[in-house]
Amino acid sequence: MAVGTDADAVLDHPAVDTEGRKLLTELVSIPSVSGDETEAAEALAAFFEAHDREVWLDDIGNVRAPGDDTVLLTSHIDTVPGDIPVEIKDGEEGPELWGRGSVDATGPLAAMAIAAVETGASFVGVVGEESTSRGAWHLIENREAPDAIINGEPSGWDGITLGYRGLLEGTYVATSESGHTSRPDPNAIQHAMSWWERVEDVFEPDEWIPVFEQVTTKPVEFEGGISVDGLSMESTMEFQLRVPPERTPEEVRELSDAELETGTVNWTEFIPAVMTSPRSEVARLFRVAIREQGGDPRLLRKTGTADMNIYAEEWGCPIVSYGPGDSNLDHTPHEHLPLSAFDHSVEVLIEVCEQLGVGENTTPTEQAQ
Amino acid sequence: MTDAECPECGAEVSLHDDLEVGEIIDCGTCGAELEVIAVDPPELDTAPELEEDWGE
Repeated sequence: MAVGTDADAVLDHPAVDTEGRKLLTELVSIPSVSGDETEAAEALAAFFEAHDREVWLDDIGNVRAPGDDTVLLTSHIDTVPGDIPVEIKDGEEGPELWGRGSVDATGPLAAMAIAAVETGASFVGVVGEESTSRGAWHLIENREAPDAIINGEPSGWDGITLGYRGLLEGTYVATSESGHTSRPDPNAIQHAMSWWERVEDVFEPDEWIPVFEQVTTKPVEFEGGISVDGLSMESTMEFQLRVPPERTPEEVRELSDAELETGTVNWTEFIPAVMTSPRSEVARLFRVAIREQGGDPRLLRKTGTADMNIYAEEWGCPIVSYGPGDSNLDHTPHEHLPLSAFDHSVEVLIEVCEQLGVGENTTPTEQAQ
Repeated sequence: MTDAECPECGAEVSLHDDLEVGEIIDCGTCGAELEVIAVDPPELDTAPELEEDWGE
């Protein structure tokens, strides 16, 4: 049953009865689509200020709250577009918060903010994860590596994500001389379609191999037709190739380039895959903490790509992704988070941070490069 | 060094002295990956399998 759709009414709901739940509800209530995160970032910074933590918005809009760099808790402030009314509904696991970002990834973000002020761990809320990962790239260029990273993404409160596939993005462009459509010569649109078919053949899906271990192909935008001056036919196709740990983005690019006969490809994004061991100390501590909360730990590898790939590639420190929420709800109109799952995730994060040694150092250790 | 029973094949699994809860070890007999659930007394369970999911 919905009890209200106004943000203030939701904050007054009796189920929103802890500081963590209030922060979560407040942040979910503030629209924060990629590129328009400032209001949510300022609310998040205000939370850290209220807890006497040093905090600032850096040049690109990330919320930086340095602390004990034994662990950096980081998640993203931005969401994908989509207006889902913010409300509390009764669910199978008790009250649920509905709203864009409740799962991906404001839930993990708020849980990490609570754990950071509770333990003293370093915290960064980054911008732009859903678009170009500009916040993560800016962080890499302006901060030294922490000892370990917990990256906030929905894994379920009882799961941890150990790996993501990499991402290769590009734009194919072709032109051909305009002519009557009855002529047999292939035009620019046919050149694009032909190249893409060959690329799909190279990376033909194998139903016996897990998707995580395969390259998958996906066109994401296509334009084609007569040019403005009417003298040529043009085609432009943007596409993504997901890259498993067994292959490098460069290798996949070379295989794709080898199929080019007409036209050119401008490669725009190279993000390698990441796969970490379930036997790492961080993974071990998560399993212990999840069991202490009554959960049965799950280990995940995801076929998408996240800021975790960038941190793992550039910093090389121990890392896992963790956060409450069912990622099947990512980007859907049904995005919602059971508040009990949120509470469990806060406790798990606090326990893992403490077991890793956060709090044993009392002075901020984040170092700008 | 102590032993514990493999929950998969029933064989005795040798455990090292500084065993930690949550650690993943291998059964020397059947090769199963096992998680240490408790250390005193030692208790093993089948380690969680790696699941595939999508996002982000």
